[in-house]
Amino acid sequence: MNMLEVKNLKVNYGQVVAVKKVDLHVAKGETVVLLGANGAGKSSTLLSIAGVSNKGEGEVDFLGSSITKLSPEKILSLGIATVPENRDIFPDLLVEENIVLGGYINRKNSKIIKQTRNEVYDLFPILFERKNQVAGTLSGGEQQMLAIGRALMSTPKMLLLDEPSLGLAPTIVEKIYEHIAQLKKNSDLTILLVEQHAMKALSIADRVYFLRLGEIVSSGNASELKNTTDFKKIYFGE
Amino acid sequence: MILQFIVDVLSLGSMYALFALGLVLVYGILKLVNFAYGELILVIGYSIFLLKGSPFPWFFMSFIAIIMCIFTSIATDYVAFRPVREKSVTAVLITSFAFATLLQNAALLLISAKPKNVPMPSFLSDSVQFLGVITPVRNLISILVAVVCLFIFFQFMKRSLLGLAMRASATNFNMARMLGIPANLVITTAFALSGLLAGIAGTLWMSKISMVFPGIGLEPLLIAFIATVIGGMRSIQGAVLGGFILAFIDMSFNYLLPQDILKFRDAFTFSFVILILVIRPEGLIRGPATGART
Repeated sequence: MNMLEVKNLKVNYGQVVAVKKVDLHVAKGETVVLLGANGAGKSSTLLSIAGVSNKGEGEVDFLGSSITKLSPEKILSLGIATVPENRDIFPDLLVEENIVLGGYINRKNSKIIKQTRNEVYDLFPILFERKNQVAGTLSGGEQQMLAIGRALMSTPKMLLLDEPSLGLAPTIVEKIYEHIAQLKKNSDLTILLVEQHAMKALSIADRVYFLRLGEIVSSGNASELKNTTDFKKIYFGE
Repeated sequence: MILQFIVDVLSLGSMYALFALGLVLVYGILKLVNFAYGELILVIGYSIFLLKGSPFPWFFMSFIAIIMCIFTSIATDYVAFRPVREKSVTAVLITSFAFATLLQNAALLLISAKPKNVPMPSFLSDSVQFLGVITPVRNLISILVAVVCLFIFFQFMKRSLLGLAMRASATNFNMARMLGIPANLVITTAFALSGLLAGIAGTLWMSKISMVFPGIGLEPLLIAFIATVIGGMRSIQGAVLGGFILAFIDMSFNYLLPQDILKFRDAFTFSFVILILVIRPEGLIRGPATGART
């Protein structure tokens, strides 16, 4: 069964059309990557699923019911957590406070909060070391970890990850992807990942969609596509 | 003389700081100035005025007036902000002005255009003398009330989950919502707290001028607005700092300007504020990095 199903999605900001037509689906436990160049509409698609960007047209279903018109907070409470492109951690709050806020919807259940917090700190020990530091003082990679850890605090069924490699040094990207792979192994979390960094993303993905100028141009199995696809064409056109 | 000056600045500054804090709370979340904010003072004044004949003790009357203030503040959200919030900034500016005008005209029609006397307990105006300082009791009470309120307020913002959620929402409202923090809860809390602070500051204001008239809201709105601009629109600490700085400027001119120029004091104050803004256009405290309206 499909956990997430996006049908005929269109996103526009005023007159500007960011996403023309996107159809995609993600099955439970799957890791699906949305690949594309700058401005292809990847982030808009993701934010629109999360309920932040206005949907011009189209339909988004999660676990069999429509979430098209729901607010971001409602969508999160159904089990979709988002790690946005710029990480968007709260820079003037402590690392620990960021983590605590991530668990906002579980606030009445201190046992779950404690348990998930321990899991997050196990996954990212550096965050534990820095928990009393102001989040804005973390390095880019640490901020990315914090954004992921914060999202996990809501004990989501599905994670929307927007370009975790953005602006990070290659060795740090390597590390972040190791963490994501580890996360995948330890849980049955379903992931929809948006990336420009094709090779890195393909290494952990089950399936791939290619997005170009607001439209899905092709899709397929990650392992097959890795070798056969003409990436130049996807990114730069003919 | 110096001590006298300090007490004067602090007592005026406590009022300004509370006013400014109430304004910046809503601005921080919505990135919109609530132009109906000054009318909360009108609500405080007329509430106490209307309760004048009641058998309740004064403290109970001002308590009810503050509750009315909170209620009006939340009503501002429902009437002026919520229906048009998602649509356009201009619309909200106009609706908040409209709501302010509505309240003013209601006071004009239903009560009177003339200033009305607001009863205050007489001990507030008694003078006390210590260390060569002569000051009315209300000034010392203002300082005390502000210290207590600011302490509780900052503890709330620091320690409680709702306070954290408010701070997070002020930095990045969409991100806070993507963590499951309900937008409406945060906004309603901001308006309620804004009303509470304006109510407390308004009561202190009333104890000073002891009267109310339909146009009373303009001055406090201006004060709160200028104080937040000086301190930095995005920072709650900035609002408090701005309030005290504005009081310092006002009071300095009170002391320094000769009697016949004193009535133009505000012109001097505003010139000085412009000077501050030329040097620090962002205000004195910058606040969180991401302040974009979302």
